Amino acid sequence: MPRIQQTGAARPRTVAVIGALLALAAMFFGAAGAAGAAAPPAAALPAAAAQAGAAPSSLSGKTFVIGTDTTFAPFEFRDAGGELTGIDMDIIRQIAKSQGFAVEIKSLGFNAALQALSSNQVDGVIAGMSITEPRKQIYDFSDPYFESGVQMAVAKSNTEIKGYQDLRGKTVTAKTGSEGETFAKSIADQYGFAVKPLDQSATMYELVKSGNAVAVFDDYPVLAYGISQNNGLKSVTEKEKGGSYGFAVNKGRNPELLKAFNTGLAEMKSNGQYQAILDKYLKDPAKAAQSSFWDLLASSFPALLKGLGNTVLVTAISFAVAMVIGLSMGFLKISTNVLPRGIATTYVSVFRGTPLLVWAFFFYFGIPQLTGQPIDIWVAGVLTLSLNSGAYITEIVRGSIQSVDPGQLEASRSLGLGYAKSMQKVVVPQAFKIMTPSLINQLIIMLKDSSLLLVIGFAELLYQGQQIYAGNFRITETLLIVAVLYFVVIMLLTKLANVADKRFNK
Amino acid sequence: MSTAVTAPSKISVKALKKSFGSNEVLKGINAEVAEGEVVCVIGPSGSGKSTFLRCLNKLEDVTAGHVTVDGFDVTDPKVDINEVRRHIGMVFQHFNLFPHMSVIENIMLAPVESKKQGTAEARATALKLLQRVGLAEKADARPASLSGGQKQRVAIARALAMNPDIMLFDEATSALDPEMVGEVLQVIKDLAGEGMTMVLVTHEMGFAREVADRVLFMADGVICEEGRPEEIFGNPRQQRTQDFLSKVL
Repeated sequence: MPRIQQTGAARPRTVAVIGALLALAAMFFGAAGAAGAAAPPAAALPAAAAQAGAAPSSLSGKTFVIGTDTTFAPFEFRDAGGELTGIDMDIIRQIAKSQGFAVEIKSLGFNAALQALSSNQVDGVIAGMSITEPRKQIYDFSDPYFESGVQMAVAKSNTEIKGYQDLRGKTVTAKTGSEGETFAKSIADQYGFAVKPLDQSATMYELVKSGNAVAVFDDYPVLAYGISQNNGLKSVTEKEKGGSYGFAVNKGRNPELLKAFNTGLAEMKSNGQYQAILDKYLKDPAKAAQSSFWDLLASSFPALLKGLGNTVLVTAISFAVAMVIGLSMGFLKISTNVLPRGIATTYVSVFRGTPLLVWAFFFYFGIPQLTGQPIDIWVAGVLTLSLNSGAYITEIVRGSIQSVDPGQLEASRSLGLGYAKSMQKVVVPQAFKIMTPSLINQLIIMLKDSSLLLVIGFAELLYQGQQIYAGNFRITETLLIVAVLYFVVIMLLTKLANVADKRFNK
Repeated sequence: MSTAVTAPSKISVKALKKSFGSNEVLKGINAEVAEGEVVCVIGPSGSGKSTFLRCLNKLEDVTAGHVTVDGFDVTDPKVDINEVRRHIGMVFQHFNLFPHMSVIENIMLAPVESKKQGTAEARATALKLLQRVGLAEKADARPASLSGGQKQRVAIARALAMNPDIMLFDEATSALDPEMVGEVLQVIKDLAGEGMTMVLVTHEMGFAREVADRVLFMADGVICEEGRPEEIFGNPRQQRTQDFLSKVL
């Protein structure tokens, strides 16, 4: 708050003007918005009302990037139309509206969202996140907006497990880094079971249904919602008294955003909007009708096609970049000079010797922390895929050039053509013919590897699939559709590449 | 130096040594080739014949000694070797035609790329050369569709396209079926008749005897004996020469 006042001497007058404009605007937004912004005396929160006048002045017109989980229904999930919805989404959007700022939601996954917050890739995170002491060390939290609690669920058909005492010698699952995991681990020794943490609610439920874990510890609203959506589980214990959920910003950053959140939340609680949102998702969630596979296909197809488009586009761009890298490095690799050869060899060993995932995390989360500059997810994705593939293409190029008969270079040189000219006119055209099948292979590998970019929240095909099954819990069917889409595209691509190969490499 | 440059010989080789690692293949070669002279190099396998030939246009780097061709010292690093090579045509045992180009493109490549000729002029020259080796109708064929003899005749035409002063033949008929050797030798013989300076590494003793002005017999990295073909084949003086000829004749 003091920081806001220090930022400019001309502020008070601007505040007054904007405040008046907002009050006018609020009248058009209807009673909901007006209750907080334009009618301070009526509210039982005079402090909040005073802030309401000040906060929009510094936030109005601003857009904040908010990170969230992908799979935490009913707090965040995608509806049948592929739109992000849920308690968190309704709350943050309502607050943004009442406080006069815009939000851009990035559905990254829980851990990825927190990493993005630490690296300032996002301004805030709302992801059904419990306020804990360790998290308070690195983030600034809002007032709690939800009182949660952990509950245990088992497969619907399971009649053996009725309480914690039945878990001896068994394995249970819980979400990595969640309250559920903390609670499960705190009683694991006492009841003699093991905990296997996973990243997503939907996969945890699959693990339980498949019998690889007997029970899941998850936040009760999440479990309750999943059960209502036919996720195949039932809850068997009462909820444990648990933590509170809060909205977080990076330590010391965006204090005005945090303040606006608190103000907006207080308003929502006082005018009944807050309770309406909770009731919408928890008291009476629309019970999912058992729909057919074809309904699933029809409803998920637009979102999956969008993902497929991103998959194809990121692969196309990355492959073009990888070809440039691979050709340059391939030539350095066959150089007789030690220095260029050393550069190429080092590049290949580094990128061929390390997992793609490490680089995806490094480029998207690591680089911004080193430089202080956020990085676009497309840039990070293309860097990851192209540098990885470029290493393999380097070797393909080197191998192909070296497998051209040395007599070809000698014949060209004996005619008086220089080394570069001979390579360009005689050796490389023949090397291209040799390398084409390997390049097609590399392209197909890259198309499939691009699915790994889902870890940084890149909206490619498999990621879209995850988003869909996170909401409807139909993992197997959704993955089947995803697999068929990959298969069809790769088959078409292979045919196309072979036709091109025949045409250009007669 | 100035005497070497102005020497009447087209090729002058002085104390040429060549080693591959610790293996010394050429152990001090001295040879002169005069303008218009046809020299055949014979000798057992591994005697260094091909290496000697390849040192003449620097396809092999010389370890020691001097090679002067057409007035250029090819062992001098300052000499533009590409320029020197444009004066020296070379024909290889395995033809080394460029498989991704048509026959006429093979022949046009060097004249066009070295900017010696424009495309149209190069095409006209190439067609003339193809006529000369009897393959005008194959101009647009791919090398893969030709017989061995035809390939080698195209390779000769390709080497001639730069209008060289000297032609080097490295076992030009060794990879051919016997019935195709004749057509290639005929083309070489015609060239000799036109006064081309040529060095041929060959196993065709009859041919060497017929076209050579001089024969070099190499063994173990040195020139063991040299002389007119009737001397070498009719009356060899060295025991090594006699042994070799008794095996191949």
